[in-house]
Amino acid sequence: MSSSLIRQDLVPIVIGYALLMGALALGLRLVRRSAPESGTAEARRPEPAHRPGPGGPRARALVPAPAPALDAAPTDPGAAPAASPARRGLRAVIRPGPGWPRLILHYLGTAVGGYLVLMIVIILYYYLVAPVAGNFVQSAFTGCAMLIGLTAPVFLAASWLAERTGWRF
Amino acid sequence: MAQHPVIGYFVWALLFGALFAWEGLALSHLSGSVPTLSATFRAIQRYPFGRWALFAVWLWFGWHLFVRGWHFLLRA
Repeated sequence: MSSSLIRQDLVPIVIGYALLMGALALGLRLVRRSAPESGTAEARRPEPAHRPGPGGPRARALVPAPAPALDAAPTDPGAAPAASPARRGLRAVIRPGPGWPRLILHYLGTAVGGYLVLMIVIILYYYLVAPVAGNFVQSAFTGCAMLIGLTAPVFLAASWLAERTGWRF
Repeated sequence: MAQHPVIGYFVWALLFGALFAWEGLALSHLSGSVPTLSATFRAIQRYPFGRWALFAVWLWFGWHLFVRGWHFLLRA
């Protein structure tokens, strides 16, 4: 590696990392110091009914709780009749049960939504407020798509690993 | 590299310093009503548009840091 690379890229990253970790360590130390003071109040707090173990369903914890019994049969005899099979199938696709399908759908929704939001902001800002020359906007489209494409398999692999081994990141 | 007035850099330093100071205040529990950055992000992520906005910010930084102007390290 050249010295300019070390000076311009590596040193700022290392210093920034050290500053960030130092600030977080300081915060953690302060939290731990104040923990014994509030320990008695915490001890009185009731434990949750179910706490997933190390090998528990990580994916279930990552995504929001399911909607209350969308396709379940109504228990109240006066309630509306059950949805048709086609409607239930559509609901199952839109909002699948806990597990990998829901995690992937949640991720895809977030990634596509975030990508579109960023592209709209970039187009509005760089065409209306601060026009730029060159292929900046085109590069934003392709570069961000490439970043999503590169990180999605890593995220899914890390989720699978965490689910399989019980690791917590 | 373009030359800019020092005040411009100072404002950036002040903004980031204020960010870390606010987070430090929230973590120290000196003020019980200040939410931490994590708590703020959790609150934002309850809503789809919040998640999209956060993902867009992450994408923006990731694109600038890792993709834009990227070249193979050994060629530098």
